[in-house]
Amino acid sequence: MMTPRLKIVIADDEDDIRQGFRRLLSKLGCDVIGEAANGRELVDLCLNSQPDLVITDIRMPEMSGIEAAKQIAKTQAIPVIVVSSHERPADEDSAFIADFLLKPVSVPNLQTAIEKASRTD
Amino acid sequence: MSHSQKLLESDLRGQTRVLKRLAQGASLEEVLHTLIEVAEDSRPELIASVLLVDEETGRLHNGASRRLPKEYCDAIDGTRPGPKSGSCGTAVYTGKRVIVEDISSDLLWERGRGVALQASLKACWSEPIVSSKGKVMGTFAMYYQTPRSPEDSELEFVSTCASLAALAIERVRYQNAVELERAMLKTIVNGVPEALVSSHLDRTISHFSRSATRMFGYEPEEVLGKPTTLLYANPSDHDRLAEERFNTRMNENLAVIEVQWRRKSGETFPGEMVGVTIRDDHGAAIGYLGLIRDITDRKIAEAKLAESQSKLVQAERLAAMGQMVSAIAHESRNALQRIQVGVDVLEYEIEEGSEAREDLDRIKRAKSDLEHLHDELRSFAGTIRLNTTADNLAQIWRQAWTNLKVSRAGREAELVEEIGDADLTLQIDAFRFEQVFRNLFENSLAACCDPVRITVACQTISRGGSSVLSVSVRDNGPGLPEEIRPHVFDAFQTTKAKGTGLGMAIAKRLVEAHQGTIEIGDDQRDGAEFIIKLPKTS
Repeated sequence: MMTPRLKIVIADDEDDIRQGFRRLLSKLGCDVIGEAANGRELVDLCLNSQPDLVITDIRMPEMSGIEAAKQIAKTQAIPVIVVSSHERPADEDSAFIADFLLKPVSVPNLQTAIEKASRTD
Repeated sequence: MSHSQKLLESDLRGQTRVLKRLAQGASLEEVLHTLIEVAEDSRPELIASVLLVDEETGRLHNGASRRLPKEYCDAIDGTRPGPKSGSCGTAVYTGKRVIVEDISSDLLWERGRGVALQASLKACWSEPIVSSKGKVMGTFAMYYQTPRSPEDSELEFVSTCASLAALAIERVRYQNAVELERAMLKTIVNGVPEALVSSHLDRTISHFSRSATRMFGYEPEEVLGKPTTLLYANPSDHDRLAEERFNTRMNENLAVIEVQWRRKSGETFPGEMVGVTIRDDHGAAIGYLGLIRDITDRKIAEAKLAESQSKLVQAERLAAMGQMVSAIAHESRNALQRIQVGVDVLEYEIEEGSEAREDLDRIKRAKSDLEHLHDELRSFAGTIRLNTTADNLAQIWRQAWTNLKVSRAGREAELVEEIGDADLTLQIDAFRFEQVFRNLFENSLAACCDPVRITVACQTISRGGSSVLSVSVRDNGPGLPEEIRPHVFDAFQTTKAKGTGLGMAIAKRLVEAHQGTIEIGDDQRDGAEFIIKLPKTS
């Protein structure tokens, strides 16, 4: 199991999805220490809360999840898992992304991605 | 019999001779020569001459003469008619008879006198040859070697000769004009690409043009006199046209009629026809004329155009549908995500084996079905971006087979590989291509009864100098029904109770995205067979 509990920040512009992930991740033994509804909030949240891992949607108002991942990478080494209903991000963006998951994400896939991302940390 | 009576009789005989020559169709030169001969034979002192007016230049040229010296003929050839141009030039100019009793003293001969006297010509009476329309076409001249004046009978003779000459000239010129017109008409008729068929009033064929022979395959002698029915594919058209076009009561109607025709070979073809009644100068109907154009090529082109237009419409519809499907698929993913995450959380909270857990499982299965449907729609309509790596094709189909473990549960199903020495390494998007095999395998599993046996056979073939990997996927089921075969790769085509009918359309799309082809195998002895061909890039 994952010990100690991973501190995760999640970002999605849909409240229901954030709520769902928060509950699910806690079942999986992680702590969601913050939620953001767009990329800008996510960048700020990461600066303030220093999470172990970020799980973010791509398409969000104000700033996309990809752009946020780039911003975060400038100051911190936090792995970013991207969850999106769109196709895989462009190759040039993959350097900023620990993993990509297509919605809807199944529990085993999510677990694998989290384990992999937190290991490379 | 008196001298004058004898002369009259010989004149009449001579005129008859001239008319006979004319009736026999002799040339103008021959007829005029006969006229000169007859005149000179009956009057030994007479030297006769016919000059003709050139229709273009208006100058006089030798028409016929026998005893007139050649030097004289040459000298007066090309004389321009005028008020004082000898006897003939003046006669043409004035349109009236000119009697010159003595060339040596007459004012009209001032210019030509020397030549005439040198030829021992002393008197010249010239009568204009006038057409039925009053136009001067030439002269008939009587020369004498002594100065003399004409008697009444001689004036009558010269006038008769001129009339005969006029008749001959007009007749021959008319005939030439008619022949020229005929030749021209024939050229036009033969040059027209449309078939020209004319008939008598009873609709038996009276003319069959060269184009008609080309179009229908009959030689004119095979059809002349035969009823036009033999050209129609349907006898009812022949009868219909008797009502609509080919009857003498019809006013001229040049509207185009489309008719199905029949060639000698029995082949029928579509043709457009303009049909009219042929009438003589007085308006009386004498036959019918049909101008037929073969429009086979145009019909084919029209059909092709219609087909490509309908294809274009379909392509546009598919493109629009693709955009719509992508948009729906995307929006649905967020909704699916909400369901998924909710179900996942509940799975931790609801005890296994409880009724509520069974409800949750049903929700979960419904969500999976929906997700699968979205994946299929996206594969079918969305853009394909290949992510190729060097992979072994066998690994890909084995993965597809493994992933179908759930579908195969409880079934007796076997995957047989016949690889031989074929090299299966390809530049390929393994994830996408797995779907091709999955769809093929799924279809076979659905169609076949146990024990299911699916054979994947590979061989490397050479096509146009490059190497192609041919992969046959064959099952032991009932095979593809004949009526399904043409539509196997069409979208929304399914024989299964469940399914979107997109599986084979997606497979085709994915194979083609890899520059490959997929088709139904010819060999039906052992269930359904699909053959995938993929280019081997070195």
